[in-house]
Order: sequence, then C-alpha cells, then structure tokens
Amino acid sequence: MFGAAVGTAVIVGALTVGDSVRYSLEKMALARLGDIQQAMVSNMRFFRDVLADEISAGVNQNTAAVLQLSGIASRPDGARRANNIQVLGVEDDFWKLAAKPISLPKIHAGQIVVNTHLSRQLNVDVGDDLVIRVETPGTLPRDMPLATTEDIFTILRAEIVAIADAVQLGDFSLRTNQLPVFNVFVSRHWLAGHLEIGSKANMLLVGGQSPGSVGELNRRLNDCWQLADAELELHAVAGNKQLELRSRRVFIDQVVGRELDLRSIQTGINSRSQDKRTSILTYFVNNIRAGDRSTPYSMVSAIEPSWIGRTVIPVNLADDEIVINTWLADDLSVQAGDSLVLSYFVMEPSAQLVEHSTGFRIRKIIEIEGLAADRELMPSFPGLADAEHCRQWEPGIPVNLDRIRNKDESYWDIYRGTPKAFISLQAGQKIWANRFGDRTCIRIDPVEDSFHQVEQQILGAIQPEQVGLAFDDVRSSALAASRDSLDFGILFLALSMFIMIAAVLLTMLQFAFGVDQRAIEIGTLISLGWPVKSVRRVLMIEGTILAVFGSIIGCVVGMIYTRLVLAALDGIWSGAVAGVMITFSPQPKSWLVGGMAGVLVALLAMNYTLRCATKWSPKQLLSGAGLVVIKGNVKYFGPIFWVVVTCILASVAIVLMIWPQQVSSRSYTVQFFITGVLVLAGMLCLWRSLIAMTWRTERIHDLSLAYLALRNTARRAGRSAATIILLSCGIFIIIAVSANRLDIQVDQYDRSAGTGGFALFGRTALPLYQDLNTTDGRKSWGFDEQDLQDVGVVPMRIRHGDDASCLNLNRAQSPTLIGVNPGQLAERNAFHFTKTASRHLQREGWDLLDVALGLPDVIPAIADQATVLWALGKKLGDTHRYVDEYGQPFQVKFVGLLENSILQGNILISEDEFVDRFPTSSGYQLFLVDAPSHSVAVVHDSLARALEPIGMELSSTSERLGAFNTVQNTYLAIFQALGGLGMLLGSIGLGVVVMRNVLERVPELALMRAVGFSRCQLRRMIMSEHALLLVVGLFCGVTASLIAVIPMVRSGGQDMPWVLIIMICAAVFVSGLFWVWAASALALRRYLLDALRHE
Amino acid sequence: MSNHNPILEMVNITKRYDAVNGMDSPLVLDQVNLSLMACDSVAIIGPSGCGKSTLLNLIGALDRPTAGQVIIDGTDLGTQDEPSLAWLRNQQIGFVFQTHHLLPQCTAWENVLLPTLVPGCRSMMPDRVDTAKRLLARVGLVDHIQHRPSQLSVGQCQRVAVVRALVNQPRLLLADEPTGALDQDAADSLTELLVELNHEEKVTLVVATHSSELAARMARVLELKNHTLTMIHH
Repeated sequence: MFGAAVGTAVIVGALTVGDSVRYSLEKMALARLGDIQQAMVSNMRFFRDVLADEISAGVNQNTAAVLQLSGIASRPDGARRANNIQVLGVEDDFWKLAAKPISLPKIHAGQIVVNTHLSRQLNVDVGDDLVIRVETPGTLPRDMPLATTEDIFTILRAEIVAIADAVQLGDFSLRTNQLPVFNVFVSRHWLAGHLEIGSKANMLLVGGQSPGSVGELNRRLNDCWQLADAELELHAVAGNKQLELRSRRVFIDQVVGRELDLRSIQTGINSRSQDKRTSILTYFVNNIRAGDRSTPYSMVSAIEPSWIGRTVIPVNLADDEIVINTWLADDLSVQAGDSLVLSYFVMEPSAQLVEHSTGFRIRKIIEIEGLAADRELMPSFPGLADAEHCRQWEPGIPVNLDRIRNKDESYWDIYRGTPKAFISLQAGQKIWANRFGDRTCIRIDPVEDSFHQVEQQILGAIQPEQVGLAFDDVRSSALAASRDSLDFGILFLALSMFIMIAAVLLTMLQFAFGVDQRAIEIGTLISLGWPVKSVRRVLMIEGTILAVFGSIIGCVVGMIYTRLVLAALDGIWSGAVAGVMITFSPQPKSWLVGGMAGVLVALLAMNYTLRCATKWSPKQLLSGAGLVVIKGNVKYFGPIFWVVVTCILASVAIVLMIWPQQVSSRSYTVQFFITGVLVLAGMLCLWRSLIAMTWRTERIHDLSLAYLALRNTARRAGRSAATIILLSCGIFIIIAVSANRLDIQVDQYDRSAGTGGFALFGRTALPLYQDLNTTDGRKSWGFDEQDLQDVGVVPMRIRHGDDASCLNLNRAQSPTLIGVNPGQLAERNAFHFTKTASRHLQREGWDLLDVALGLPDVIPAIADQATVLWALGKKLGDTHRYVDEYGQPFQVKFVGLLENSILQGNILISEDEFVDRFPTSSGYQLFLVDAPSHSVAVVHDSLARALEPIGMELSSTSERLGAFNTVQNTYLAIFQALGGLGMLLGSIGLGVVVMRNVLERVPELALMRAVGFSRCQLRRMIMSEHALLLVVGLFCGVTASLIAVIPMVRSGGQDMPWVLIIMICAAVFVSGLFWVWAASALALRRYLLDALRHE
Repeated sequence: MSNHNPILEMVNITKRYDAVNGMDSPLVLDQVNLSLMACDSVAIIGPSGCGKSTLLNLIGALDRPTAGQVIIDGTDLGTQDEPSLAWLRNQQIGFVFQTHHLLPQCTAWENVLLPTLVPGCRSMMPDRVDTAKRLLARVGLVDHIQHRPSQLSVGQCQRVAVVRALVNQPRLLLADEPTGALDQDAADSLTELLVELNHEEKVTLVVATHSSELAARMARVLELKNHTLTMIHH
C-alpha cells in the first residue's frame, strides 16, 4: 500500500504540476490576446488604417488597426530605461478587443498608457512623463542604396494617463512567450503623425465572440484591399496620357512586377496586349565617364523596349549598349559608337556600400523630348527628389558635392532628375536589381481602360499575401504553443525517476516480504491442491485492494506534493519556469491516470514478486523462511578472476582520465560517464572478489564476528550486490548530475565553447545600419577608436519571432530567424557543432549555410541543438516552415546543430537568404563582440554608451549562457533533490531487506542466541552486515563519481556542489542506518523465541 | 563448585504463556521440580505440546518461568540479566535441536567455532580450537571440516551441531528432539554418540524426545504429563 501510495503521489503530483504549468501558460496566452482571434502583421509595410473597417464590415467582427513599432522607453531624467518595448498606436477599437469591457481613458495626443510590467520596470505612475523612441519608418528600406540612415528614430514625450493590467490588454502581444512584455499604448493618429506616414497601420487585429475563419478574412481582404495597402500607387503622368504604377518604397517588389508580367502574358494587363506597358528602372549613378571626361551624379533609366520604351531605345538595344541624351553627349564630347562607363553604388547583403562600374557602347544620342524628357522617371529618392538644388542633395550614399558643376546645377534646374542615359531593362536589372525590387515604375497605356479598371486589373494580378498581407489565427497558435509547451508533467516524472524506482522497489520488497511471511500458507494451499494460478490470483486480489487504497491516499499526497513543487518552482526552482507564477490547477484526468498508473505499477511489481515466490516448491514454502540453499564453492568465480577484471576496468578508466587533456571540455560528460561506470564496475568487481575471497578463505584460528558478518553478506550475494549497486548507482547519478551542472566561466574565450569565444552579446531595440568593424562605421556613432582597438563585431539581422530557447515554456511556433554572414563565424571557427550534415553536403561548419540544397524554397539553417530537439521537437535534416515577407512559404533545413550556446532560441540562416526573404528587415540588431579579455569592461561601456540611442543592451556571453544554463541547472537541482528524496525512500527499502534477511535467518539467529550471543550482539552483527552494504554502496558510488570527476575538477571548469553531495550522502547513510537498526530491532524481538519453541 | 552439588535445580517451576483473546493464560508447567547432578543423563518424554521444549528453554536460560527458580551450577537464573544469561548459555550450556541450524554460509569448522565468537571468548580460543579438532575427530568428521552444510548429510550436520554444542565444554547439554529429523541409522548413531559424549566429556545430558530408543539410553526417564514431571524409569 505504501509503495502504491508513493508511486501514485509522484505520478499524480508530476502530472498536476504539468497541468498547472499548462493552465498557467494558457491563461497568460489568453490574457495576452483578450478576444483577439486573428491578426495581420505587415511589419515595416504599412496599409491604410480604414482597411480595418472595411474588413469588419464584411465579416461582422470587431477589428482594430494598430501601428506597432519597436522602441525604447525611458524616464525623462534618464534614470531608468526599458529597451525592446512594444509601442502600439491604437484607437478605441483596440480596447473593444479585450476579453471583458474595460474602462481606460481615451488616449489623446501626447498621452500614453503603459502596462504594469513597464510601469514597474521604470518605476513610473500615472501623471509621470515618459520619453519614447521609435524607429522612423523610412520611405526606403534603410538597407537600400540611397536610403538615408539619418533620423532613423523619432522621439516622443508623453504623459502617462493610465496603467493597463493584463485584463485590460496591457500585456498584449502576438508572440508566444510567457516572458513579460513592455507595452506603451499611444494614439495611433498621433504616432502616425509624428512618423509622417499618414493614416497607416501595420497590424490588423480581428476579434469577437464568434470568430470567423482565416480563410474568410483573407477572402475579405482580397475583396477590399487597394493598391495603397501594398504601398503602390497608380497615377496619371505625361499629361494624363499614361498611368504610372509606383511604389512608396521606390522599388516595386519583384513579386509584383513578376505577377504583372505573368498576368500580362496570360491575359494582358489591359484588354489589348502586354505591348501597352513599359517597365522602367531608374538608378542614381555616381559617375558617367568617357575617357578623361566625366559627368557626376546622374539618373540613368533602364527601359523595357516596349510601347513607349521604343520611343527612347531601339527595340534591339543590346545589354552593353546605351542611349544618351544630347546634354550628356555634349558634356562628355562623345558620339554614337563611343564607349562610356557607369559607376554606381550597390548594397552588399552585409550592408556594405560598394561602387561598381559597367561599360557601355553608345548606340544612339537622342534629344531631350518625349519620354526622354520625363522628369518623373526619377523616383522619389529621399534627399534628392525634393531638393531645389544639387547642393541640397542629401542621399543616403556618400556624395561629394564639390564635384557638382554649374552645368550640373543648370541641368537640375531645367530637367530635374530627368535621366541622361537609357539602357535596356534587362541590362539595368542585371546591375541594379536588388532585394527590394527590380523596377521603379510601370507605365501603362490607359486609352481603352479607365483608371479604376487598370487598378482592379493590377489588384487582380497580385494577391495580398504576396506583399505580406495575410491573416494568421494567432489565438490558435497561442493556445497551441501553451498546449504543446514543455510538458512539465513528463519532466517531473523523469526528474522523479528515483522516487518512482524507490516506490517500485519498495512495493516489490514489501510484497516479497509479505509473501515470505506467508510462505507456509502459500505452501499449504499449493500442497492442498490449489493451482498456483489460483494462489497467485488470491494474493493479487489482496494486493490490488491494498494498492487501490494506497493509490487513493497517493492522490491526496500527490496534491500536497504538487503544492510543494509549485512552491519550490515559485522559489528556489523558479529558474526552471523562467520565473512564471504557476497557478495550482489539478485536473481529474491526472488523478485518474496517476491513480491507475500507481495501481498498475504496484500490480506489476507484485505480480513479478509473486511469480518468483510461487516458483518455490511446496516443500520449500512449507519449510518457512529458511529458503536459502547455498551450495559449495562453485557459485562464484575466484577472486583472481574478479581482481583481473577490476584491473582491466581500472586501466581503461585511467587511460580515459589522462585522455581529456587532448580533447575539449565538451566531451567531459561522456568521458565522465564512461570513466565513472568503469570505475564503478571495477569497484563492484572488487567487492565480488572480496566476497569470493571470503567465501573461499577458510579461517582456522582467526574467525571473528566481523568476519562472520562479512561472510553473511555473501549469504544472499545477489541481494547484497543489488543493494550495493542500487545505492552506488543512485549516488553516482546524483553526483554525476552535480558534476555536469553547466558552467562556462573558464571556457568563455574558447571558440568551441557555448560563447563562441565572444566576450559580449549585444542586442539593440532599433536596427544599426553601420558596420562597426570599419572606421567610418565607428566614427558615425562617435566611438573612440582607442576603446575599440582589437575589437571585432559579428552583426546579425533578426526577424523577430518566438523565443525557442529554454527560457520560453511555450512551444515556439515560429522561432526568431537570424541572418548571419557565415564567413565571419567560419573564419573564427566559432561555436561547436554536435552534428552536421557535412558528409552529404561536402561542406563544414558555418559554410553549410551557403550550400545550395537544390530544392526549391528550402534553405540551410543552423540552430542550437536544444532549440531543435526540445523547443521544436526536430532533428538534423528536418525542416521548419516559414512564410517570407511576400507570403511565400519556405523551409529551413537543419544542416548543423550547435552545442549548448548563446544562440539558443534562434534559427540561423545565411544573410544572403535572409535579405532575400525579408528585404524590409533592415539593419542589424544582434551583435557578437570579440574583445580582448583585459578590455572587455571598456568595450562594454563604450558600446553601451555610444549605441544607447538605439537601445543597445550588452551582456557578457558567459552571463547569457549562464542564463540558459540556469534553466538546465535548475532541472539538475530538481533531479538532485528528488533523487536524494528517492534515495532516502530507497533506504527504507534497505530496512525491508534487513527484515527479509533476518526473517530468513530466524532459526540461525535463534541458535546463536542459544549458544550465548545476546540480542544486542546479534543486532550489532546484523547492523554490521547491512551497514557494510550501505557503506560499500555509498563508497563505490562516491568513489567512482569522484574519480570520474577528476578531469573536470582538474580543468577547473566545474564548481562541484560538495556540500550538497556530502549532505545527500550523509542523509542517505543516516537514514539507511536508522532503517537497518529499526528493522533489525523489530525482527529480532518478534521472531526469535518463536523459532526456539519450535518442536 | 563441588561435584556433589546439583548442576541443575528446578524448584517449583510454573510456566504460563500469555493469554490470547481474553482467554486464561495457558498453563504449561505446574510446580515442576528437577535436580540433576554432573554427568547425569535424563530423557524427558511426553506427548507433543506437553511443554518439553518449554522446559528445555527454561533450563537453557532462553525463557523465564512464571514462577519458581532455575539454578544452574549454583546460579539462580532469575537473578541474572540478559547479558549474564547469554554468557551462562555460552559457557555452561550446550544445545542440540531437532534441526541442526548450521549456518549455510559457513563451513563445518566455522559452524563449530560459532560459540567461541561471543565476545569474551577470545582468550579461550586456542583451547576451544583444540577441543573442536578433538571433538570433530571424535565424531568422525575431521575430513569434512571445510564442507558447508549443503555438502554434508543430515546426520553429519547433526554431529557438527553436537560438536558445536560441546565446543565450549559446557556443564549441561540440552538436546531437543536431536534424532527427530534423522533416519533410523543416523538416529541410532547419534544416540550412541550422545551417550558416549555424556561420559567422555562429563557433561550433564538432558534430552527431550519422542524416541523410546533414545530415552532408554538415558540414566533416567521423566515424563512430562499434566504439566508436571513424573519419574518413569531410573
């Protein structure tokens, strides 16, 4: 009954802990979302805010347009700051999506509402002012050539008018993460006004009590969306003779151009033919040179040789031919047939601006008229389009205004940005197409179709999802994330393994003990003709009744156990749940499962024991407890055999101990276990040799009570060995777990360590566009070059998603993607791979990210092993689905797994792939910093101070790894504590073993009493025998683990929790001794005289 | 102590066992008196359950009487504490039971020396070893001393048990159904051995038995009947 109760308590307790964690996460997920069911998030693409009303009208649901940006909040005095906050521009419709009606004051201009977490973080209250810094959405993605990286953020100051708690949607977030989110709510109109983006939003939320489907919403979106929602605009040009499709983002997304091309081929964008449409790509070139003459800073258009394009360039214009206007021909003194060279900037994927040059042969010189005189061919390049004079240009590229001549100013005055040269669209796209697009406008002949018809035809050609507009069922994702979260029930069952084993052993021992006591009864029943099966059945029914009662008690105890575990998870073990407050939430299902499992485990244990017991013959059973028949000397191998085996094992262990100096720290764990197991096995062999020696040695003169006690342990050699093995293995595993606590202090600068050998890990709230490895990049942020001497930075792009690290209890649905230049990590040989697909892909390490997998829309990815295995439930070679910015699904395939690292929680892909898939995720936000160990503090301060405006947060890589390790170490601590508890429980089993041993030997002990041994002496002998097992078990376990741990201790990499280990050993020893004493006292008092009265 | 004094005296011994379920406590022995001199041999016979083993347990200081005195070689057992009684059993009394109760994990030799392991006996060990060798030779087991009980016959085991009982050269040898588990030949052999050792070792022999053959070889035969002892043969 006790065993069943303990087993049930552990199972029910563990499952209820799991239920409680799941319930708490679900509660938090629902609190984050309120009534929100679906959401459309377009990140740095902005759609009309009225789209929300248009969607709402079609689906009869509450909708809200939200302007969501990352930002930094600080108190005006700068005393406190919170990076990575979520700035939400909302209007009244947002608050209607709360689960319950809420009353928050309307947020006017200059007012903000903060959530409770942020108010605590900044220690602010209603009435206080707050300074908010948000990224200013640029006209061009900041990574684009010509995009300015000045004024990248907007500063707002506002007064806090309310503090929203979780019920008031204060914790609103679409990320499936239980970590507290910092939210600032402002008026959307006010925010949009400051950002100068008009009535735009980038998040559309849908909610209500009767949710519609995502499909329905997307269909509705398709029905009512407009070109402006794709940041496209159609307007009349050339004196209303033509229509021009442009993008607010200058470059028209390639997918749009491609779809329009496709649609035109299939049906014609107008009713006649594709021939009435011309795509144009206009680019800013730094220089046009012919021999020693050059013209600075000009626009050059690449034109499709169709329709109006033919008026400028010949249809058969070759890719290396160019058409120039007369002004340029005069300026360069060139004529048809001459050569000239265009020099222009292109942006490398790593945000490096590189000047390229391409040579052309002049095919034709044209007058500045017609399309060649169309100044609207120049897109609205920021810093150029609105400049009155050339000297007012402020493009996002280095421009030497001194090169601008008067004639250039004159051209600008007359023709503005009218291109001076024309090449074929194909040639232009080859050199200027980038991830943001491959054309700057599309001219359309509207002769037969109205403006509206053309607009509808364009909208019909592209799908909203192709420009990143699609609804997701965020509620289902959030609930799935909490439902599929780390199963603490299973985790605690695993961590309670020792208690379970102890419970099973106790059940078996107790039942065996009961059967021993009733051996005569069983023997009698069998002798009377009862079938063995019937005897077993009777005993099993008896055991079942007890197990059921035990299980009921166990359910109650399980609740207490759960409460204790939850209290610990709220306290000393809070690291395991990343500080989440877990609400006690027992589920009947867990009671039922736990109760039934407890009974089942007990029944299996009893059944096994009973089967062993009923194998005895009726004669043996009837003879009572003295069932032991020990044969002669043939039972054991000789001591020499065991000594030889011990020597072999010890030799292998010593070799392994010497080995670590040549291998890295990562193999310590494997080495520990192999060495430990070898030493443990060796010691057990030594024990067997001692037993064998004792068995074979004939003491003639020096027979003693101690020797007799030793000999007695050999009496039930199997049982004795099992006791020692269980004790030693238990202690070994507990110490092993202690020894393998993760600690990386020493390895911080080791490239193969989890830190990658980097000193600092940085993260900014707003993107950084400059390269901090270059002098220019450092100068732009005012760094003292001296401070950053010998400092290297590996910048990484980030596509925010779910945190898939062990700090997130939810199942990450779409982990954060990181774009990294593989070469920068490969050249450092940073991090250690546990597994790679090198053999198949013919590449090593980080170079695997550059491998072409040969599958459409499948790209290589590398991630932390823990992230892939545990957070995603995948393995090397598996894929994970993402949707890119154009709504196109793609798969990342895991080609390498990193050993426990600071990159945990993210998936890394190559930067090239990243920018292709997410062109608007501009700039870098994650940084791995190499710094000399003696100047880490200086580098830290310098980076933190200079990059404070973009919210740079730096942490030591060892601290970051330590934070991840805390979770694992907490699990280990739980395992140790529960393992220790299991060991203590197991020591009760030792008492039962004593009882069984004494029971079996009652006649002998009675005889010893008769020949003059006092009860006290007999108790001492029995205690010596079993204390010997206890000591040998503990000694073997401790010694084996300590020997195995020597390499780790010698490396200095481990901080062994000696106190805990000593406490556990002492507790197990004292507890074991107590149970041995209690059992021997009880057994001797109870049975001795009965045996002597036997006639 | 003089050879003229009784080695064992039982005076008005009464023994009742503990009452069960509110019934009267069962009377086993009632006013039993017995006196034995050195080298006496006596058989106690009687039906099963009459209290023969109880009487032997009282004589052997394994149990205490409800009333009366048990005096062994002048020592009143009632006045002795548990350690003293254990020492007395070790030094003055030898036991042979129906089952040999040899330790299966020990050799015949180790089993014989078991009584010498009691703390306090270490100084006598050389003598005891000699005695053990002599007695084992006497019972014909000198070639079997390294055998374990499982390697000996039941009769041989019982002989080892007899040697074990005599190794400390006790004054009193108590045998409770010593031939009960033996076949006829082994029983006869053991009977002969006990009788011979009674004389050779000058030990007082008390045998509780159902065996008339064994009883007949004793100097006196007493019957335990109606809770008291009656002389039926001298």
